[in-house]
Amino acid sequence: MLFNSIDFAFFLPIVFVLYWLINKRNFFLQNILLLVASYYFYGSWDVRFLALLAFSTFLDYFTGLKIFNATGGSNRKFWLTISVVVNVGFLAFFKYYNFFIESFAELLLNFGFRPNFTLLQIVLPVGISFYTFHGLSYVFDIYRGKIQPTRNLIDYSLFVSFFPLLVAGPIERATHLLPQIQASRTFDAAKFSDGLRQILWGLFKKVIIADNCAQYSGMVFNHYEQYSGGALLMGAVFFMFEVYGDFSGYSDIALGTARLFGFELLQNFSFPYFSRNISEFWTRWHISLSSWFRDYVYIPLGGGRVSKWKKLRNVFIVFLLSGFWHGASFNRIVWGGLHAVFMIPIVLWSGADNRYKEIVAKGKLFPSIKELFQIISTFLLCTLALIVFRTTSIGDSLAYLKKICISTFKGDIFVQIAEFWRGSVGWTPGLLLVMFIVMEWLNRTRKYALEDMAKDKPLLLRWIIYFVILVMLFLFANRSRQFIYFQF
Amino acid sequence: MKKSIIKVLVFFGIVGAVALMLSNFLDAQMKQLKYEDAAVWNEITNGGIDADILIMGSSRAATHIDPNAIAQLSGASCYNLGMMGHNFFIEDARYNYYLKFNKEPKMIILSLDYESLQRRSDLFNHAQFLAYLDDSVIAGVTRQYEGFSNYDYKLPLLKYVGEQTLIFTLFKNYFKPKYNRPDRIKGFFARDFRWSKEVDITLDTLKPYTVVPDSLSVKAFESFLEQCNRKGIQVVFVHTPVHPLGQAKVINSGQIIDMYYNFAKSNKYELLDYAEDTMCSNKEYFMNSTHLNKYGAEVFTKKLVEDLTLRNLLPANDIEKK
Repeated sequence: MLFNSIDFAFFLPIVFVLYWLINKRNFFLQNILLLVASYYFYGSWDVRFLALLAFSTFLDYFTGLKIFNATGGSNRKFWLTISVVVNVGFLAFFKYYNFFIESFAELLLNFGFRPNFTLLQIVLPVGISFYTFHGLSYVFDIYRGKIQPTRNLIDYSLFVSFFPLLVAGPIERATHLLPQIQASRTFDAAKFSDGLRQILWGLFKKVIIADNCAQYSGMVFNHYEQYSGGALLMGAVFFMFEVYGDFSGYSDIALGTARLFGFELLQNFSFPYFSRNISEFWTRWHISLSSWFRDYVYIPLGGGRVSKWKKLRNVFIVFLLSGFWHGASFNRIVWGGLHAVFMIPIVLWSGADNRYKEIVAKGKLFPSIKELFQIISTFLLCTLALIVFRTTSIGDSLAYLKKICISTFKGDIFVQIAEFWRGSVGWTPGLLLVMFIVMEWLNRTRKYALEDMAKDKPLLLRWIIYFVILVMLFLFANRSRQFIYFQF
Repeated sequence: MKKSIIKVLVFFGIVGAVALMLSNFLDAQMKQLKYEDAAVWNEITNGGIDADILIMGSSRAATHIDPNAIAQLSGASCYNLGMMGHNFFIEDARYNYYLKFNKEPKMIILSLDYESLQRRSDLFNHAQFLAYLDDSVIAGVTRQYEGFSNYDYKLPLLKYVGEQTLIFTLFKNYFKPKYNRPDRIKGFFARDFRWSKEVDITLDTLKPYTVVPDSLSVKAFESFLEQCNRKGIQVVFVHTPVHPLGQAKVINSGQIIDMYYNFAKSNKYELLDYAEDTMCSNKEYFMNSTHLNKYGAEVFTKKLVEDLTLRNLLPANDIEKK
């Protein structure tokens, strides 16, 4: 059941009404209802994987209790190892088995062996990377003594499988979400309308921006040999907006949906394309994943309190792992590696801590020339890396980049961009993108662009704004498209 | 909480009412469309066609056989039900839909292509069905293709989601009806194009392929023939001209034509095969390897009427009338 489907448009109000109807009795019943709804939501993709979700949940619930109750250090380590091995084992099997087998076979082939390994027809359970990381953060936090395990299996199960975040995050922390699950919730009209507004904005990003950009990025990437360098660059830019609209749109819908039930989830995106360097970009892009890697990989490795070279090593480890998390292919690993390379000057010369805590040009209408240059160069670096992410092999990535470089050095790139835009794209996508960027820019200090746009305005005006967005959704929607991050 | 829920209900109530009105408006405009495939559905639905001779088939039927010429030459009324981009499975549904609003024909000229009994999975040009999704025949057949979701048949306006160009066109036609001009006459779609270099380039990239008949389509075909036999409707199979360059792309073309001969034989029908006709090798008649242009269609229709007359296949009453 996709967030941008009619099924979900029926599912959500039904669960919402039932949820607040039983509120008068107790929140435990609300939790049970949400858990049942979440399992139904997940089962609508593939019923077979409900067992896997239930097993993974029970494993972390059980090992969490065991770690907490264990008397000796080795006992605690034992239960932690069990949890990590089984969780990572599932992930490795479902997501990486074929990749490992193929890569190993290729390696042996280089040494003259001709192995005969069997590849499996494995269906990747949707959201496995997300709920595995949920569970792992829970047991890590118990192991480190940051939290105590919950003894209530319903509460824990809901923490793992709460439907707004189950299939594509944000990757929640027990320290943040569990206390909300374990406390009673009261209906808050302001939160309710804010939730609906964020859902609407998420739909706008997904349906209008991402899905429309997907048409052009798909067209270019799938037949890149037939396009000019300028067209390839535009294809990559379209893909940048596709990924951003798709994933941040999903996150907005997830956050908005959770808010309807009285929950606040972690903010996952904060206007990343206005970042001034790669370090800032990673504090604004898929925040829940980057902070997960920071807390459970980067800091345990020594974080920023070690020598510069060790710091650099840690950065590379984190980014390579992050790339691998995004998919079982060398392209994804190289994508992560490229981001690590982009981080080198920052780590060596600026220190690990990001200098940019505040959003760019705060309190001003326009950025300075320097800031504009920084934003554009960061955007282009991310685009470069994303070309590697999107193409299917390193050879394709290089061929794609080569064409862009040749056009750039020949000075044809702008003419080719104009030709591509005139011949294959037209005005509408351009206008939509400009409108989107302007809205994001003007509201970059908010949690999401529509947050304050409609606040404190007369009811009629607010409704007109919502109505206009609905009309745009109606006119520019593409028929049911998947969310990109489901594949992770 | 009550206040919030009431606000949301009022808002979505207004949205729902607007959606319903807009949906009805768009349906009404679609039903007045005078061009593209939708125009044929509209003419069928308006009734009164009541043709003696019906032409059925794909785009090759729609563009190759001129019903006006047949009517003039034979004296029998004639209409072309040819559907662009589709195969027999859906052409059969169009015929059944035709029978809901029009009299049975006396004769059917069934244009058969190599791909007639194949079935594509997508609902090509799905917009033509938009105004008629509530009809049982159209709903029944379109549900068997990838195109509409279950909700499209039940909820207002949903089927128009993302159809920005069509919606703008329908509004434009409403305000400026002069744009709503017919592009085909009695279902016949004359294409005034010549064979271009681009056609050769496209042909070069097209690899030869094998046609695999679809079992559901074959079943529908058999049932259609059985129905025609029962009702005494004369059916003539016609394999209209294909340029040799187009014929060469279908690996099992001979097998497919043999299959049609077998169907014709077992039902005692004639099959007029123009694959070897002298017309086929002359590019002047074609706009591409499988479609005749306006001139080609004119020449071919004349030839077809001559052959039908020669074999005494045209409806007897009308010939006498003539």
